[in-house]
Amino acid sequence: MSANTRFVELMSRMLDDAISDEELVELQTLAEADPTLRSQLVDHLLLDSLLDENLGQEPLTALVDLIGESSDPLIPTAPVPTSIRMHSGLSKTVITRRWPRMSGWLVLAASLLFVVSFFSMRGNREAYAKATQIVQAAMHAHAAPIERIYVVDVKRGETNDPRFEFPRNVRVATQGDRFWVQMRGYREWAWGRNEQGAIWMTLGPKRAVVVNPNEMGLPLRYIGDLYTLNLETLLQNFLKHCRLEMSDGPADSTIIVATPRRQWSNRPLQRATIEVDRETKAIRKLVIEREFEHASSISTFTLVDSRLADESLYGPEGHLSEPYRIFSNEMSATRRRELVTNWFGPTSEQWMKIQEILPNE
Amino acid sequence: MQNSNSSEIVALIARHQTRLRGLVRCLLVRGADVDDLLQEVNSVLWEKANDFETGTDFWAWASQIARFKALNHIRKFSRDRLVFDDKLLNELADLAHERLSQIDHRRDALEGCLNELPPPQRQLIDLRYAGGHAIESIAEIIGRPQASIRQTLYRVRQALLACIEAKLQFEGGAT
Repeated sequence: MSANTRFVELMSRMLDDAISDEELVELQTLAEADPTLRSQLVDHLLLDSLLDENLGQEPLTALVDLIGESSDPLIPTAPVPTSIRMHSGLSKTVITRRWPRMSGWLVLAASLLFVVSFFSMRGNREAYAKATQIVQAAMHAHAAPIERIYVVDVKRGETNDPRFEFPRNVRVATQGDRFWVQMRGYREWAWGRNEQGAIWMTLGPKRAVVVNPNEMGLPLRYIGDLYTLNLETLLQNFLKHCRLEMSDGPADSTIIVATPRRQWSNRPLQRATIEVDRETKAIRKLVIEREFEHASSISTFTLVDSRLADESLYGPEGHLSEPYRIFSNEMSATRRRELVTNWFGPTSEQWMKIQEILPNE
Repeated sequence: MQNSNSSEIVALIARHQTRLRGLVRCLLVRGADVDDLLQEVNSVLWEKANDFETGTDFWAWASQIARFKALNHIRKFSRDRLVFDDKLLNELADLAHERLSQIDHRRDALEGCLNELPPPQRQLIDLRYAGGHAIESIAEIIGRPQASIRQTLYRVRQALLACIEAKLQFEGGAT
């Protein structure tokens, strides 16, 4: 085997995190002896870095980065619970809401009903009938206990603001209005939204923090709504103010495009496109194009997998190893915010709003 | 730190993340260590923000600090992780510094090149980088031996490098 062939083999093993001590010594010896091999090594390492940056899942700065979009006046506000009972010790948060929680299929159905109503208003009976079928089938499809995996890609356009420079790919597992995301990187962590609408995030393998809906700062609430694909909260506002067009899409899908009406055109939304699988009625793709004062963004949700859900992964417990601690209401919001800030950095202070914590906090 | 300088330095550090990440990656054996070291480098740049003179070349200033910090940190890594030896580290850092001047062009070209990959190759790259799968896992998903997956991944990377070079030449972006 030639030195070059062996070098390629060793370099591939290194790039794929599978190199042993002995192999690394061998790789170094080869690289030090030949400048062209060193050059080749740097080319591959830089490519690896670019691929990781371009395609890799969110590193620790994930939430901080998305906060860049929080100035969007379209940011939806999640229903706020009217009362929260708190228990000390090992108790869990018990939340009652004025509005019953809408499960995912209901949310989807509600959103698509908007589409139906608009087609109905326009007297397009054929489209109406078709949309009705989509709604009914979608209700059925989304009632099943199936987890859908979407890749969420937020791309920013040309801008002078460096906060908007990073395209990101995040793989989100969703079921109803719950979700979880595994963050990859040197420090792996997970976060998600539970049935009560609270956001949880792991701080290493032994600790997690739960942020209740009334404690969430705007960025956290926004990202939560974004990742659950909560179509009602995401689309309701602008569906009311948009022209809707329905057409046949690629590979047996139906496309619904929403564009703002004239009187609403000063809003950031430029266009929303929903691609629904004609057979399974699952939303295959949702693209939201927006234009801000200093930046533009295209958020794309692409369905990549559907499978039976592992329920344990929708809470922090499924991502921690025994013995672990989950900090919820038994710990003051101020203290939990300190934990979050220590872990994620100063920008994460905005993720929790302390002033609205209930008196017994 | 003065406020005006602090906001400027934050913007500059953010704008140079691709370069800093590239520099850090070229010095590390394991890709999984990049985020950790990049965070250290960002912190030290932030701490030294007062030393930066507004209007001067940020990258010239930052890359020196980043290199110094990264090399020091890697020496600490060496107790429990695989690292390159000092001689090779310095040679790699020099080479990386040369290449990083055109990293932004390379990043743009890469996006086009990824879109041009045939679907099976793109799937492989997505599994490795978007999915974060190890070779063992990819081999299981695709149903091919690990050695074959590793070899194909190398070929795809080579193809991407060639494509990037071609695009840079075509667009006159290469220096």
